[in-house]
Amino acid sequence: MEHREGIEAGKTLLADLEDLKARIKTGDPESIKEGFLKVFGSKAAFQYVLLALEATEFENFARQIVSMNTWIDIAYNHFNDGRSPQVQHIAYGIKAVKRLVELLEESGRAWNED
Amino acid sequence: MKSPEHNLEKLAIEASKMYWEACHPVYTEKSIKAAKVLLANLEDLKSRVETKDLSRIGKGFIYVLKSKARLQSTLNNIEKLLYGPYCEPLFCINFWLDIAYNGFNQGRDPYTWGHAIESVIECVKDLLDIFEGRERRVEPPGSFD
Repeated sequence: MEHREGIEAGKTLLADLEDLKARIKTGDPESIKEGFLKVFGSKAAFQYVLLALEATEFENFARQIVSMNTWIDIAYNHFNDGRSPQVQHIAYGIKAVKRLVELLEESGRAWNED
Repeated sequence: MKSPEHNLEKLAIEASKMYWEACHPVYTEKSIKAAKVLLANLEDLKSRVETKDLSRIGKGFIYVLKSKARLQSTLNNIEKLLYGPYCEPLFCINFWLDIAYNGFNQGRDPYTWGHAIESVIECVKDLLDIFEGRERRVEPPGSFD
């Protein structure tokens, strides 16, 4: 498994989070539900790659992973409670995923230099 | 020497921090209930996996994802979540659950990912031990050490 695969999986999750944000703005519950399931699928794939890359061993990665999971879950719980999920919660999730992608890019570069 | 105003300011900051933390505990009774619901849904998912019925397993995952989201929503003070003792079990719950969910989504044999559900169960039990002030029994699977 290479860092490139982690970056790709992170970018897929970012695209699905952006898609979810757009779905939330439509207010259509079925579409939002579908958007959340896509996010959970791509987040699971991303975490799988992070494990394979042993990125989860590092505290700077772990903190962002906790942040990503927390904000996505808070948004999902809002939705399940019949409240409108806050776009802001998803935005915090996006911020954490973006940082994870940056960390992967940085460690990928360091790996190649070695 | 620091001025008395400086000390007063410092005290005021400390008092405000203590007040805020008292008003926003990291977890409450709701968190304990939510963790127990998650545990029950994980046990339910485990029995669904044994049936090998994909539709039933998929529904089981949704119940688990929902109850995990509920649990996370009952937790306050994200800074403490990131740096406190809750970080490790929460990290492991999410992590193992995603490993299992990814295995399921990829159509892999439950033999290859079913054990991850067992690990999630152990991590939720570990979190409950912390919430309920019990001594942690075993090192949770996938700890940072």
